Amino acid sequence: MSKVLIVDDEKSFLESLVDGLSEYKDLEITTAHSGKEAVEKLNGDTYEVVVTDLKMPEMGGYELVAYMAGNFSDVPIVVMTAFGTPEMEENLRVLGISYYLEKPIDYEDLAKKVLHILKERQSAGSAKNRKAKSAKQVLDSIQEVVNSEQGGEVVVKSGQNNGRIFISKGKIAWVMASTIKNTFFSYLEQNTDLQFEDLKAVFEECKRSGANFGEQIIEWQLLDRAALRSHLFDFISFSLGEIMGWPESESVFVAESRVYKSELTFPLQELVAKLKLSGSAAKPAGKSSAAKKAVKNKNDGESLSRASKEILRELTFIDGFRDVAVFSAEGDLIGGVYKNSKRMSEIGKIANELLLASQKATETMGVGRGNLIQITSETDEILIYCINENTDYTETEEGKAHFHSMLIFEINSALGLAKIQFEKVVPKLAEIFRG
Amino acid sequence: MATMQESMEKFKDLDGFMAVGSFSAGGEILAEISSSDVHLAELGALANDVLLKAQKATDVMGVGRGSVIHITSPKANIIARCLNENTDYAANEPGRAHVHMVLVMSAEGNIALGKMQLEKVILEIAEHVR
Repeated sequence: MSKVLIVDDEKSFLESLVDGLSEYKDLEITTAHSGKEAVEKLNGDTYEVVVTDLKMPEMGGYELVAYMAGNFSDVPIVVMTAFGTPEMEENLRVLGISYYLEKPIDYEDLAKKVLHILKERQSAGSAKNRKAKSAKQVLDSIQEVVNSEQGGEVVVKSGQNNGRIFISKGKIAWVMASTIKNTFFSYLEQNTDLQFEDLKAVFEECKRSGANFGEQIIEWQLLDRAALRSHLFDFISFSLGEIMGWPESESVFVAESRVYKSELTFPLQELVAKLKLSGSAAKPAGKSSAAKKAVKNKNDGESLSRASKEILRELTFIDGFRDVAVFSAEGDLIGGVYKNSKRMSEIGKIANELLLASQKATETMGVGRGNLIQITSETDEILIYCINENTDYTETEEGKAHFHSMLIFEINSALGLAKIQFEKVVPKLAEIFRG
Repeated sequence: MATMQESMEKFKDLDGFMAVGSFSAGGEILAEISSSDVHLAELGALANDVLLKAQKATDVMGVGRGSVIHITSPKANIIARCLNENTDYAANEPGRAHVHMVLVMSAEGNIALGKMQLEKVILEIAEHVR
């Protein structure tokens, strides 16, 4: 029996689906009324498919999808949307979603879709027209489709991994690789100044107007075309490189006559050239040790920022969440997820001074070192943590973590839950800070 | 009206109570009660420094002035409260109180009750310094 989680805030709609689906004995249906409840259920059981609405109170579908991309990336998601157009399907891929159902939804359509996904996953690699191929051969088959100028997708399977390369007018329009946890949505959030809420607003506008996600970002001047193209190019080439790295891949071409309206497509040769360049760049030759160290530090800083953001995102689902950030022991901003504050760098320095002053006070009193400060202001509750694993507070020992973190919540919100949840993410953060 | 000392005595029955002190805005001690070895005179200046820095942080963040600061250490909880009735935070207007209080409780103490008591008592202390 396959477990399916359906998430929607409309209780009567859920009840009618559950009632209808009860005749499908192969499916065990569980429901959740918000993204938050869905996260709790996902953490308590194993589901094979998640079906969700996008617009819900408390924690919406966007947040749920982002959470699943980081924590349950192998569980396929079906989005229920009232705007099921080809453009919307393209936009959903930005969120890492390849299945959608158009509202109003009939339980039979839903059952058909879920059973199709389950069958597709079970039969991975067993299709007769597929045979084991090397990465070079997979690339050749993509090239073949590109040369034919035929539109469609090349589906690649390698064990449990699966990838899809979408081709339009002889160019690569999109690549999805199941082993990549980041979606383009979260990639933009981590690598540009765009915030989750900005991206969500763009998506909502796309739903309303039927526009392409990338083109909408450009139209709203959130990024210029060159910058977006560059990010998209990096993301697509990275995804393609991931697929090329899978052993014993199998591929099949599914023709489709749709022509992508957006001009944000890329020649295969350019993507392959980038892959080759990245491969050689990984082994720099002839650089001084200082230059190598500088490059390493920069890369370490960026990966630390990305990794910490990914972990901190777990706190964003708590009621009343505003901002969360991590800082070095010197108060330098490393990474964060913000709904509100744009001045975290400045605040981090002051928080550092505050921690030092508090620690001085507690040491004077002989009650041990103060490691948590809670400030109550007119509108917000601010928690400032010092996590220091060093045995000597003033030293930085190899393999020990020492960092600061700040959480900001609306006053009278779920602060107790935030504290408990933060205690849970501390070990994960400490792990990436060690060494 | 209860004396400042009488008002402060109300903390003594709290579970985990260690010390409490009232301070001027400059950090000078006005009254104190201690049931342990905690020396509040020095702590007052330090707590004052923490309050000022917290207020600086909240000013930068634009979330209204921070008026309660709770520091958690392995053996104690320190709650610093600032009551400033001046319309201009930096000024000292006649008839308006600006007072700080610092409550120290053990790690296992009833912190929530301590905070509630602090909210009541600081208003009584304010009566004396207006």
